[in-house]
Amino acid sequence: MAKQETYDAVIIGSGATGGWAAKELTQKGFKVAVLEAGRKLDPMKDYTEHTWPYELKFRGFGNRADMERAQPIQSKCYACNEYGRQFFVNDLENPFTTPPDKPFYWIRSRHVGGRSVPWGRQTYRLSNYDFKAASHDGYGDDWPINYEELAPYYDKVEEFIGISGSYENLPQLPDSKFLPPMNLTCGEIVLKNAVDKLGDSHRRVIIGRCAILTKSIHQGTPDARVACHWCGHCDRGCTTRSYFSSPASTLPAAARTGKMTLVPHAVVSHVIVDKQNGKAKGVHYVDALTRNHREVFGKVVMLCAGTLESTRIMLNSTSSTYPNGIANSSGVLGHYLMDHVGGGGASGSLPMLDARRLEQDGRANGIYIPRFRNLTTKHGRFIRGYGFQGGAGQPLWDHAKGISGFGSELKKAVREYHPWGIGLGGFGECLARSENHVRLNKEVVDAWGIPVLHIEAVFGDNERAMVRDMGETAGEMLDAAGAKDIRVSYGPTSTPGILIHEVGTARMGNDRKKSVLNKFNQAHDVRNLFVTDGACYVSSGNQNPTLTMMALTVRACDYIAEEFRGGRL
Amino acid sequence: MTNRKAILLVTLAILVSSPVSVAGQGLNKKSPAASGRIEPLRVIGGELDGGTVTGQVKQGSRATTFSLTLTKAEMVSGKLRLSGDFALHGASIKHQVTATVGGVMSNASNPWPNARQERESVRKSKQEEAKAGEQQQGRAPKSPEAAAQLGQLAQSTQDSARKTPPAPGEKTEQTQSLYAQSEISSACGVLFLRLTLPRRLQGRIGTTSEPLQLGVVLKPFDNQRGEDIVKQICQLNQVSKTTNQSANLDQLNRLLARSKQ
Repeated sequence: MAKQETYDAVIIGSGATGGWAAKELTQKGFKVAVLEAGRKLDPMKDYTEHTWPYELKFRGFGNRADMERAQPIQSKCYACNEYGRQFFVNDLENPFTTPPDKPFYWIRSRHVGGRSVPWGRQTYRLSNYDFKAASHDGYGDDWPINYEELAPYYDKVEEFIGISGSYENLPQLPDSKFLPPMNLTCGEIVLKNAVDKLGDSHRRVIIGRCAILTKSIHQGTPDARVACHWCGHCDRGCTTRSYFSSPASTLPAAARTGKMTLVPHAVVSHVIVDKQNGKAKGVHYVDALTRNHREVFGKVVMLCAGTLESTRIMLNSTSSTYPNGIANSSGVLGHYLMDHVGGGGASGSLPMLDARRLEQDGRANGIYIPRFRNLTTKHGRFIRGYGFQGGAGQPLWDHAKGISGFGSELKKAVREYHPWGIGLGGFGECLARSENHVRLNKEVVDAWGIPVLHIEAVFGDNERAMVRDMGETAGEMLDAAGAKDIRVSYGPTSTPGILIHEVGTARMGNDRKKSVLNKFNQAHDVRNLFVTDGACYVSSGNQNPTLTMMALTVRACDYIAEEFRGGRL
Repeated sequence: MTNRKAILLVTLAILVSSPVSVAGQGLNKKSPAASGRIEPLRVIGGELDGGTVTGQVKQGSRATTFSLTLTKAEMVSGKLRLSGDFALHGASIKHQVTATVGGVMSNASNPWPNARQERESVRKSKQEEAKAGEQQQGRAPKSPEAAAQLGQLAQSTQDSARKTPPAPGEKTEQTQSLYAQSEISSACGVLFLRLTLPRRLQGRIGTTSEPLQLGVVLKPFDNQRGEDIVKQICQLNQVSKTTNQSANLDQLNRLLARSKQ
């Protein structure tokens, strides 16, 4: 057996938060091991953003039978297709279970970089409307932190990864440190002008805020990255590193310190506990290639494996000290699972715009309408709020399905006519409810023998009422914009999980009897165990969550360094 | 063959077939300590067509085809137990095996309604009502559904690049909320069966005495009987919610009996 090496920190997961943990801790002088369950990607082979449909066997549609066989859940995700299915797991090797009548779509990536490789990169700050939501409307619990405490860490993350967007000075959606914004399309300007005239000062159409570079950053330094070249297929990878992902940004920075050991194919099963003092002393994993069981030791263990995977590892870390899973003396671990709710919105056409000029430019972004409900007034049917993502644009060829004719006349019409369309889809807050939970199902294991999660989550009346309102307000705005053929969706709600914003299950809090982590993402029960991914969320907010997870990770790393220096870990 | 020998064989097969161990690859050549345990084969997958599951047992780079024909269902101590004939490709012997359901991964029906489905209500704009019958600019698509989708499909980033026309119906992060509606119904997308194999078969496959997990997906096309079988299993697995258990069981056994014919 090889000599045991003890790292200063063992980080589980190499995605958005794992990458930041590795960068921050190594740059502070920590020697870290980063364990990743999957392989290292080769951008030249695995990234397909420049692949033409005719280069693919099924022209981009994929082999449906094969995807149903190996990825029946993953293939529900918009990015799991013939271009990008390599970024998603095999569902039979990486299963989970649900009640038959309560589907949940757990979308997972297992490779270096995790879901930071195919994600949509929409990046929004939370505000005190989110952190202190319970104080605002009386439901649930406040976060143990406020916006002002996290703001400097948002700044730090944004300045390093690069966020494009426009300054709007909205209290419900604080501004980031922005690179220049992308432009609105003509159709979006039509919508914006119409919404501005609706007389609701909170309702604004703005360009989406996203982690895609509108200008080159960190020039002349090893962290330099070049501006986007507008190929427009960010979910398929980015060989020029113009979008943020951990392999494009934070992991190389960590590697340059010489203090990071990256261990791919390391499928972590549980945290190893020191029986003497109850602290975490390392993690146990299975090498996915050799199937060897291995252990790695550290003075600090950071779980950055993704919301549900981190909780699964903790639930599976049972010992005489922690019979119900590590850091679970409260019994709260696994509870309060949330995902954003969708299914409400509207779409239509904009015939007032010239369809004979094609003005698409590969913009890798859409528009955003920040939350406007329950800010200064109370809505009668639901609490909290939702935002819209969407946009207006022209198709290249898809409109051909709606044009009649034959032969050269039809082809000519398709080439010369690109009608404008517009669509808005809501992303709403899901209330935190204890009954939406995960637990271990020891009757089912993954390919490495590790018990899987049983996930039980449904949306409630508040979410259903919110989705209904999404349809009403989206229809109203498209109507105001003069759209035609408006089609409104009032529901049903989305399947939980499919908006891929799952958060909660190891919530932060000041009361150790009602939460798993303290305000620095440190386990109440185990002082050298930290969880900084979405598991720590107290409420979901309605903004996309990844930016906040990264900011919380940076903040936790500052705290770890301070505690380390003080000899308290 | 003893379990230990079986494990050794699997390990050897995997080591021979794996080109290199990559633990610690790249940045630091030190590998974390091995505990000495090797994880045996735990999980296989297969596709149910009618009453027969077919799939592959993978041992390193070697894959052996198997089939499991389900023949009987019964309730044992309140839990559904399935029996069937398991055969490895090329082997003349069929092994009698039993299985219980460890869990299911449920599926929502029709989670991604596409452009041609009439799911949303049409909202007439005030302008549209006022100008009913007026000629639209350009050549309007005949299908309002297609027109309604255009903005979503075209604008939201990924579809808009000139050089890569979108696949029809493609979803992106910006549009996924609109496509994410689902009609929730009781539907087992994947069944996880726990197979108890005879010792002789355990050795052939390279697993242990613990149940082998078989993930079962439905063959997606032309497979009504497979769908009916999964539906019955799914209902019977919800023991507490099943009101008509014996009828479900009879129905399942009728469906399985056709496998033997």
